[in-house]
Amino acid sequence: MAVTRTPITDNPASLAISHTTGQFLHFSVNAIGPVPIFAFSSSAKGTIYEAADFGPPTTLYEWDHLRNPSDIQQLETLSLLLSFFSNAQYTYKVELCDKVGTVIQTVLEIQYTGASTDSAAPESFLVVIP
Amino acid sequence: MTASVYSLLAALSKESLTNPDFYAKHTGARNMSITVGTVVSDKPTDNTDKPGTVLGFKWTPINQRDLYSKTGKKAIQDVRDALRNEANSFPGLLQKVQQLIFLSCAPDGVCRNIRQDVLDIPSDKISAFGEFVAKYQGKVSTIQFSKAVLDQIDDLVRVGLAPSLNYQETVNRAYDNIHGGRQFALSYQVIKRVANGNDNHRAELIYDNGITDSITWTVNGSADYIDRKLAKSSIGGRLATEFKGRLTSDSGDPFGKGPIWLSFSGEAKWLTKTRPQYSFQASLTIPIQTGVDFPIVYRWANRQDLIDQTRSEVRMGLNVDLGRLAQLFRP
Repeated sequence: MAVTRTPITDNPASLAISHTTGQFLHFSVNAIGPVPIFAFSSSAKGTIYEAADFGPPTTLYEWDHLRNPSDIQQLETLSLLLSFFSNAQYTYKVELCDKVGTVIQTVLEIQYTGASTDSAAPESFLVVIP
Repeated sequence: MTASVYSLLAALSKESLTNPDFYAKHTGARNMSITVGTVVSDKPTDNTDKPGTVLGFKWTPINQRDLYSKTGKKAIQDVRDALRNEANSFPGLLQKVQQLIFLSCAPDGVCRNIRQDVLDIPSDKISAFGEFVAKYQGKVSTIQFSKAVLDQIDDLVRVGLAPSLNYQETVNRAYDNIHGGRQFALSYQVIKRVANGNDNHRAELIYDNGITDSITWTVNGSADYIDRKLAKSSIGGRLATEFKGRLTSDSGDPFGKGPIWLSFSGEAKWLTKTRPQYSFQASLTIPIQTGVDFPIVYRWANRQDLIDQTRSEVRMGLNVDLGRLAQLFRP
């Protein structure tokens, strides 16, 4: 059975972020299932976060990226890989925020449903610093 | 009606069955279930025609098929490790392929037939690269690839594919390990009947073990007691075992064609005032199509029910699973 991917706001594939004005990205993964398994990674740094880094399994995982100047990297591809082995449903949302955390734009919002032995579902986009 | 104690606790607590925190904290409750209901009575057999009340419980003290068992925890850790490895390399591989396509096929999606020795994007092309990636998102099929570009993409993917293949192998192995995990369960059920109706008690032991990924061994034993209020009560028992082996691989698709199964099983039954009954069965189940299986069964019994004669037979037929079959006709 293949993974079902339902975009609410589809992935733009590339995104310009103005780090000079303090823009950053806010990520959230909403999980419905006993043990969510996912990994967030970058072409520059490899795996940055995993579900297990957030403590015991839960329903909502949130983190920011590019808030810290040391995170900023030109042409960085950011990927989220979702495993359906022990969790059947996820909603992945990325928001572009200004320096005080106000949401400027929903970059993507996508729902996924899969079965235990499905391949990991990747969702990626490229960050361009103008 | 049978319900797990876990689902009852979730309903009483108004929690979702899939709440990860609730799921983690109530592993023991998932291994207990209770049965409550009624059953039709038959006057000659049960000494009444009034429905009987069914009460029962099942406890699975060993359940290596739970995600929070030792087997389940190891499976989850293996899958996490494999996903982390895949995630480490995936965005880098994707970006290299995008850079190759941009350098060879920008701006109009018609690729030049040359290999790219360097895949770095010049600083004055960064914005154009971002626009090109966005432009062809979901439209890669509109790009006119040249042989040189396709060959170079193949080379990149071949080198970078190992973590993805490893993830899939790990998931399949972990899935088989959990589904073949040991289970040992105890159950008790009583059918209580009013007035002079018989009460039926049954205590049962079930042991289920995946010896390998494709062989399962099950042992099932029960003791039965029929409490006849107007006649002498009877005691009986049953012992059954089955080896079930998968001869071909399982696609993992719940709506796909199943594997070929070979099984051997034996059963012994005892009941006071009757001779013991023994039977042996071998069966081969061949899937023909999704939801349609062709079973070939050989069965031997030392006697049929209440008839004192040996009997052996071969049966063939078709098993049809309408639910799975219906998937073939879905749009």
